[in-house]
Amino acid sequence: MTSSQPVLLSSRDDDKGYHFKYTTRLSSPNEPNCSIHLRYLFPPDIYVDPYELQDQLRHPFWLNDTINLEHPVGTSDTLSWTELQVSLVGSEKPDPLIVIPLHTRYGKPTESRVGYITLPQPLGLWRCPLSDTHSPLSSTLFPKNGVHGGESNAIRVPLGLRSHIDQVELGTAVVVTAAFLYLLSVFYTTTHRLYASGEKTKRN
Amino acid sequence: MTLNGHGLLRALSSFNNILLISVAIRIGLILYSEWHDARSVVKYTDIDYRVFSDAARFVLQPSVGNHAQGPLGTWFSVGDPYTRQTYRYTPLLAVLLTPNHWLHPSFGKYLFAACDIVAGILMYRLLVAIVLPSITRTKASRRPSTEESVEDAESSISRQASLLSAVHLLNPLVFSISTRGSSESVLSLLVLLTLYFALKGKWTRTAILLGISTHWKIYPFVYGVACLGVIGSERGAAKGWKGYVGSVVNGRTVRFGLVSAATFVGLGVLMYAIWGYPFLYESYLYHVHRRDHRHNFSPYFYLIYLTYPFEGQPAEELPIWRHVLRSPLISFLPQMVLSVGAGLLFGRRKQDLTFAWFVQTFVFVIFNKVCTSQYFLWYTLFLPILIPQLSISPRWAVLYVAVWFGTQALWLAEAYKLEFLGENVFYGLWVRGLIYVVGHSWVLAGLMQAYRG
Repeated sequence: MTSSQPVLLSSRDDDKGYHFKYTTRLSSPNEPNCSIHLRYLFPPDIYVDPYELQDQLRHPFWLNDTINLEHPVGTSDTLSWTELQVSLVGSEKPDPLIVIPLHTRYGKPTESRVGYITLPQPLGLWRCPLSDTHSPLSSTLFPKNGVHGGESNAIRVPLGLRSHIDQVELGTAVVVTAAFLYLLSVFYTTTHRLYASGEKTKRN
Repeated sequence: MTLNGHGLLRALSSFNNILLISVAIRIGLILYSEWHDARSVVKYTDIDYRVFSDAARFVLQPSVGNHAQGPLGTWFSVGDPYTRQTYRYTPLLAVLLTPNHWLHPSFGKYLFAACDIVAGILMYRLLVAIVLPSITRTKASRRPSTEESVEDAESSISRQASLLSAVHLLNPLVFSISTRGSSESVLSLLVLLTLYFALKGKWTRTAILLGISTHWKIYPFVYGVACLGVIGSERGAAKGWKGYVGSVVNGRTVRFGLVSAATFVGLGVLMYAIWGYPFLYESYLYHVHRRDHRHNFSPYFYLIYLTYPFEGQPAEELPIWRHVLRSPLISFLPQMVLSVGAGLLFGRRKQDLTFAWFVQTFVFVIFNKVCTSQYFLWYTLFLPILIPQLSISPRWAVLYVAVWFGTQALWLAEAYKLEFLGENVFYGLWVRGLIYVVGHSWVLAGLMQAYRG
């Protein structure tokens, strides 16, 4: 087994907006027979589009079932964390870059204008064959403590304000009703112009 | 006007030239989309095209966990397009796109672009055969006709029809949407075919096409309401309310309704027989109760987001009127009253049918609880045929176009801040949604007042 260990560091390309890339930089020893497997855990605030991953991720991956891509966080369908596993074989270029497109769901409205989502660092598994080919592979977790954590990435997301509910409810109802009544009046005058004059012509 | 301007106008006055240019633009953009998407992370192709293609692949490749769930599903040995998340369309669309997987991945785009072209041809034929001659006849009746003036009139009609068809065929919004892989052009073609046969008085074909259009997407059912009055009025109508009711409900209109309903139900039964409840839910039932909480032009989005039924949230004690206001069904009330009402009010003469359908669709979109840019195509589709019947000064036309575009631009500028810069502009975005409703209502009112029949 090799004495050197891979090192990884993940970061997002931007801390604003609903769409960003989560980039993992790997510094790995050049061992063509070894493979690296990364395990990401994303909180329910994040959704991963499997179809987008198929297009953009150049490595084999496994994603636990993500349903209801369109729902906000905090519904019965969006309470679980998302797990993504990515495999890199040893013949990959040294120090590969793994870029994962992520999206944030709308958060639960609160009294605060912003919320923060913490993205833990992924966990890596480094697997190498022993010199005796009949022996099982040796596996090493990294970071060394083997848990997700370390430096994490915080993403700032805007949140709807619950204090707006009354205004929004009333404002939407008033404007929609006003537009409705306005168009009804235009319907009336247009009908009168188009058809009342036609009936007058017939009578004359 | 410069020589180049004259040459351009002359080129655009020939419908064949317009067709050639339109076809070339679409083929060019589809070829470009293949080149671009292979090299860029940001795709030219719409995400919806991926949804349709994936659904088509699931239909072609049944497997464990992916099989048609209807009573006859096993007979046909096909997969379930609804295995694809967010596929909320008729299974016919997925079936139509199966050549994406055995012929060419861009087959669907070519199909949608072809629908655009055929729609443009239909517009031209409607304008040449029905719309423009009726307007020209009215003007010509005021002066004596000679052989020369008849020829001039025909030539003028052809030129005008070509230019008006170009409003659709050379519209960047239209050709970019179809070449990006959105299926709106299929429904546009179905609706135009329905209108084509309605204006020609072929009511059985109209009824069948209306049934197919409504199967494709529910909203075209409102056009049937306008057709009833036109069908009834063809045999003459008695005066007053009794006469009006008699023109809408009689043997011919009942037959029309039955044929249309039978087509819609027949298609639905066939789809259900093969694909089962998922078809019913995703194609129709989902749209009744959908809660589009993410930002879109409709101002309802923010109310839906703020009152979304989050897990663990205690039920609020509210007066009944607030429960009603928060119901996902409340938006249907003004929308259906205006849309169906416009059909009943303006569906009296065949010459008003295009205007009626235009108004019905415009109000449907304004008052819908969700609205994206593609929805505008549903009513702008009618403009090339409607324009000859409008009397607007250039100044007012510019103002209407400015307000129509301006309210959208106002909203888009704010939406960009929310989506890509993460700024908390929900309230401002909601206000701009209200401005969009007001602005578009004003534009529609102006066009209605400009309609001369």
